[in-house]
Amino acid sequence: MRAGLIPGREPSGELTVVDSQADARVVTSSISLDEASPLLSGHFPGEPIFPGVAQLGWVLLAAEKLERRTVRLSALRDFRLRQVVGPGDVIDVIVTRATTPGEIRFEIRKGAKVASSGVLVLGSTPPHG
Amino acid sequence: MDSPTRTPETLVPHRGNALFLRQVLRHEADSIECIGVIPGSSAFVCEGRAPSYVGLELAAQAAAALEALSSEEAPLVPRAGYLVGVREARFASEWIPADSEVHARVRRTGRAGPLTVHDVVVEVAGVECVAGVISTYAR
Repeated sequence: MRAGLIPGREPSGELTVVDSQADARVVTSSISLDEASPLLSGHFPGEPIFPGVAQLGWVLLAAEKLERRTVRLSALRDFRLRQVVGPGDVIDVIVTRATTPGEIRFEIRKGAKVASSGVLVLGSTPPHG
Repeated sequence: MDSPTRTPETLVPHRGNALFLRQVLRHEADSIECIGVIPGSSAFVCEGRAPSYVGLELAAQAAAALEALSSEEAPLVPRAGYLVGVREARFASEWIPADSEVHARVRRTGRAGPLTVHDVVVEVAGVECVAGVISTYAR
């Protein structure tokens, strides 16, 4: 299954969701990151890694599966990037509905290691923009 | 302190569509103000706009530029500033228009070796769209 970088938008083809499991509180998506992804271009020459903010796009895709709707990111907390994510990596994106309404905890795993983690705060309607 | 002589390419290693930094307007010992642009051909852009969280990448590039301008060891070497944390960020708008000037203000509030903490504000046309606290790791 192809998935777009930006939730709710046209597929851009740089990632492939190879598996996704969902229940009422948790969604896990396994994503294979394309070595030819345009996100890698220029970041960085000779040593390509995915920009840290790209991980938020992957997390939001999983969050939309969990919420079964288009979501809007209102705030972000405790986003920690621990491992570099690079071309050819296969990652697991795990999103869990938090006890606080509107909050989703997330974790991106690369094998047994946690690549990043944090908390999304979802908004209802955009104030502007 | 004005910074008329340093181009973005001498401050950060990003190139092509990944380079959002366009101009350093001014910098002090612990702060920097920059103009950036998210290119319309960036992979983050769809329908002429990028999600506002992409503004954190511009803020990280501005923070890396501040570290490069502050460095006394290798003042002309671009500094890779890896975004390693966002303690908190608020997104007042959902999108940032592509190919438009974006203003980034970054103030260093902490440092531990190569790890630095910055308060950041990203504005479009004078309207705040992202504000928060980020951590970068300079290399």
